[in-house]
Order: sequence, then C-alpha cells, then structure tokens
Amino acid sequence: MPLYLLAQATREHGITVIATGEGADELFWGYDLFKELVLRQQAEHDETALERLDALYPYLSAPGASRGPVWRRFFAEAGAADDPLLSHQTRAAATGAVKAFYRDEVARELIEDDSTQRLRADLPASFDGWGALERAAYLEVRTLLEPYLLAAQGDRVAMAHGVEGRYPFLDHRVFEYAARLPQERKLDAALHDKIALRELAATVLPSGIAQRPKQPYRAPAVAPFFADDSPAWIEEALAPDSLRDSGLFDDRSVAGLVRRCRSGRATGMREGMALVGILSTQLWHEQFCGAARTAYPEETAEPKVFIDMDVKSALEGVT
Amino acid sequence: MTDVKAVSADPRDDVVRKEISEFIKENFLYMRPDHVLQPDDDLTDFALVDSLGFVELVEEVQNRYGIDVQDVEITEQNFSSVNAIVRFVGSKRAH
Repeated sequence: MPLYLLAQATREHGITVIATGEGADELFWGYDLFKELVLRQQAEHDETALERLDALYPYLSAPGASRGPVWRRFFAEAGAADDPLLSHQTRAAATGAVKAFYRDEVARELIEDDSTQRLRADLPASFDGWGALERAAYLEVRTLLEPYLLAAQGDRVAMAHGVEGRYPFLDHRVFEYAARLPQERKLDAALHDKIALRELAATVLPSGIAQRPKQPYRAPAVAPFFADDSPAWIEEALAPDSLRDSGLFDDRSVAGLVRRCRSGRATGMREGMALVGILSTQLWHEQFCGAARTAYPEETAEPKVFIDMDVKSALEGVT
Repeated sequence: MTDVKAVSADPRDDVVRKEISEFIKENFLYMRPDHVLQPDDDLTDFALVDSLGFVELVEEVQNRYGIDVQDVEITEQNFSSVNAIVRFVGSKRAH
C-alpha cells in the first residue's frame, strides 16, 4: 500500500520513469534481519548481546513484541546455530502463526511437504561454506525480493499508475560488486549498515539522508479490514462457506479469529500475521482455483477462454 | 479440579488459575473449539501456544501480576501449563 500511494504521487507529479532502490538492503545488508543475526551470533559467546535486540525494532509495539527476556528468548531459540536457514527462522516462526488455523488434514499434509525442506534441498552446493550473513542475504533475495517484492511491491503497484521502475542495484555489475565486498564494508559489529553505500551517498547527498536509519514501510494488519466502511469482500472471503470451498482452513477457528478482529481484540503480532495469511490465501484461491464468487461486470462480458489439451484428437480431426 | 483445589493453600491461586485459563481460552483456545482446557494440559502439546504465543503469555503474566520475569525463569517448568503458571506466580508473590 505505501508504495502504491508513492507511485500514485509520482504519477501526479508527471513522472513516469523512476530509479528505485530495490536490492540495496539485500546487497549491502541494510535490513534489521541482518542486525538481528549479528546479535544472535554474538549472543553465543556474550549473552548481553541479546539485550540489544530490545532496541532493534522500535516500531513494534503490539502484544507479543515485548522488550525484555521473553522477547530475546524468542530470537535466541529460533533455530540452531548451524542451521542453514538460521537467519530466517524468526520470520518463519512469526508467519507460522497461520498454521494453527489449518484444517487437520492440511496440517498433516504440510508436515510431510514442508516448504523449508524444499528450500534446503534447493540451496547452492557451496552454501555451507558461506558466512552466516551471506547466507542470510541469499535467502532474503531468494525468498522475498525475487518472488514477492519485485512484483507485488515493485512492478505491480508502480504500473498500476503507469510508472515504470528501474532498478540500478539489480544491475549485474552492482550485484557482483556488492557480493564481493568484505563483510565490514556492509555491516559491522556495531551494527552500522550499508557502510560502503552510505559513504558513496555522503559524497552527493546531505548527511541527514545519507546516514538516515532505515524506516520500514509498515501497515496495520487487522484494523483496516474490519472498519465500518471496509469492503464486503473481506468478510465474504473469510466466511465459513468460502473457507470450506478452499478447504485449507478450519472454519470454526477462523470464525473465532474474525470475531476477535471485528471486536478489536486481535491486537497482537501473532493474530495479525495469521489474519493476513488466511485472507490472502483465500483471495488467491478464489482468484486462481475457485469458482468466482463475485461476478464483476467486465468479467461476465468476457468470452470463456480455455486451452484445448487434447491436441492429438484435434489433429486427427484435421486429417 | 478437586485435587488441584486441595493443594492450593492460597485462595489467590484459584483466582490466578481462573484468570490464566480465561486468558488462554480467549486468546488461543478459540483455535481448538473442541478442546476443553484442563489446568495440567501441556500448552505446547497440541500446537496451541507457538513461540510467538508464548511471548504473549509470559507478557500477560508479567503485566497482570506485576511480576518481573527473569531470563532464567522462562522455563517449561514455570509456563508449560495453567497450573505451572499458578505455582510460578505464587512463588513470585512469596518473595
């Protein structure tokens, strides 16, 4: 949403082509995820390092994002030190809140078909020899930038306003240069990030911009979907018959979550994550797998298009 | 329940037991509508309280009872069930 609005404002200023920074935080280790990993690693021989986690996410204030021992423990216990996916296990734990809402059959199936196992199997052969932060950067590019950010937060929202984004950090020469930089030129033990990039920026930009801490784009996860004027398709997508259509989530469990969301009681990170996961899966399913529940006028006017899979018999018909 | 009551010397324990049970029902148990929560149920057993949920639970205990939970106290022994939490809150009050 923030980038959609940004693209809209860009277009209103008559700008149709922009250079945009996708990739900079992955290549020069600007995301908090990398700092979190540094602290988790330091904590292996210095437990006080975890105390610095308290200051790392100042923008998180929801229940379940407390400061102090239990919050630190969440990070300390998310994944073994030698786990190749160590850096991303905290994210897996947070987004995994949705799993509690799976139907039993689905949950059982997904235990056997674990997506993290597929990711592990697909890692480059040399992965084990990389540094922990290099692995984290690779996983960030492979699991978020490439399959999600570039399309969903980049091209799609920009093109919605006819704005074309160009991505200088994804130029292969920039990419290769950044990948070869020594670790201390990107992120140091004191958690200064994007060091080489900030030095370059300081030669052309005021220091207030060149040294500005990263501010993530954030949007509330629950409240906008349950406001008085929220569109009807939200509750439709979460209704018991829609849930039974898709067959993925337990309709009674989701009904409980929806009740809590509607009454403003689902204020924590866990339930927010679960709601967004369930709602987007439901919409995705409706769009691509289900019978369209909402017949939009332009859709009903379109001819039905299908692919004739029975090529052989069609050829036989000709001869 | 009678056994549990029998070992509860402090009547405040029953209040804590009731409040924590209510909190878990309200915040987690709606996800398992067929499950009837027993005070000795292992909360992690049936995937009810995951790692982020555990943070919420400890947070609630800290805030509701004004207890400062130390790192070494965040253990399975202290937080694995409603009764474990009751015992933990009781022991913190005694100090």
